[in-house]
Amino acid sequence: MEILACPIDKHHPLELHVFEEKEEIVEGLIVCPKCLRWYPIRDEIPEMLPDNLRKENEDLPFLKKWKEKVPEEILSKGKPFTLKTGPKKS
Amino acid sequence: MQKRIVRRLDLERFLSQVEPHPSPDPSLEQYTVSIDVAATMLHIASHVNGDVVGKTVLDLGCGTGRLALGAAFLGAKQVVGVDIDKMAVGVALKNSLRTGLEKRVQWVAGDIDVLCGVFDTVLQNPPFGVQRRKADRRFLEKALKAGKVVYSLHKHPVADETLMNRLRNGKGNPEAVSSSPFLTRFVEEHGGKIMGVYGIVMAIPHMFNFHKKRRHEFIVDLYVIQGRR
Repeated sequence: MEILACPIDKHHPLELHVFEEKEEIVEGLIVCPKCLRWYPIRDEIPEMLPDNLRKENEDLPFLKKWKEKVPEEILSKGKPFTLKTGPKKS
Repeated sequence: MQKRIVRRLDLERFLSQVEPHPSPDPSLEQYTVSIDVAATMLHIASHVNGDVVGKTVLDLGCGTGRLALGAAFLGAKQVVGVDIDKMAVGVALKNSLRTGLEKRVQWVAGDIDVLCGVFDTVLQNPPFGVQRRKADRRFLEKALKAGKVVYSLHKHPVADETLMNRLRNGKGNPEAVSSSPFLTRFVEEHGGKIMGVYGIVMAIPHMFNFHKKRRHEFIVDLYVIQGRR
């Protein structure tokens, strides 16, 4: 976490939410507190992709799966997608 | 962690276990660095200059992780590999699991700008900017910010048959070549200093439709650069 910055606004440090952990963090969420973008950690890999390479049909199911553990602010106002409003242009 | 010196043959055998990209994208210039070139690069970085064993290493544009895993295999303390192509990074993770090096390599899917730490050594085979102009400069700029020393592969500026023949006959040994005026200026403007440049033959299999020959051979220049840290 100490080496990761938000690819959009370069903010550092980022927040980490761990959902599933074995020896490594298997699934989790990285959040940029400045722009409220969220990035999934899936299969141990943090996916810090820019908005144009994100796929709503892959990322929203991930958010849905962990929605009990995702901060409310991200569920309602997170970028680039939220469960409530779908895709958001920024 | 100090390890015994790994023989070149063992290194090449290891590197051959690292699977290349299953479906490379021409616009990202995604070809996997050849085993030969990776071994030469790692040999110079590790055995000649002592920049790998016990060091933190960053592989920018790691693809499926051949350089990153090579560094881990040689005894790097901690390695990070980053690539914008999620699929390539997925293959890199499988490669690290298969070779038992997963504890010492962390993969990140993303642009090179998501990395903000300082590393002892940066290893990179950046896009040469043939398909997408200036792509290599961004990598070089980032590498100079992130690494104390940078090993970076670049396209040899001209087609040089004489050099190519000497390198072919030299059993894979690199040869010192002069640095390109453009890269020299670029590196100096960004606070770095070129310590050496080595010409190496890169042979890659036919991958993209615009590659006409079955095997494509060209000269790459390995730049060893002192970063600004």
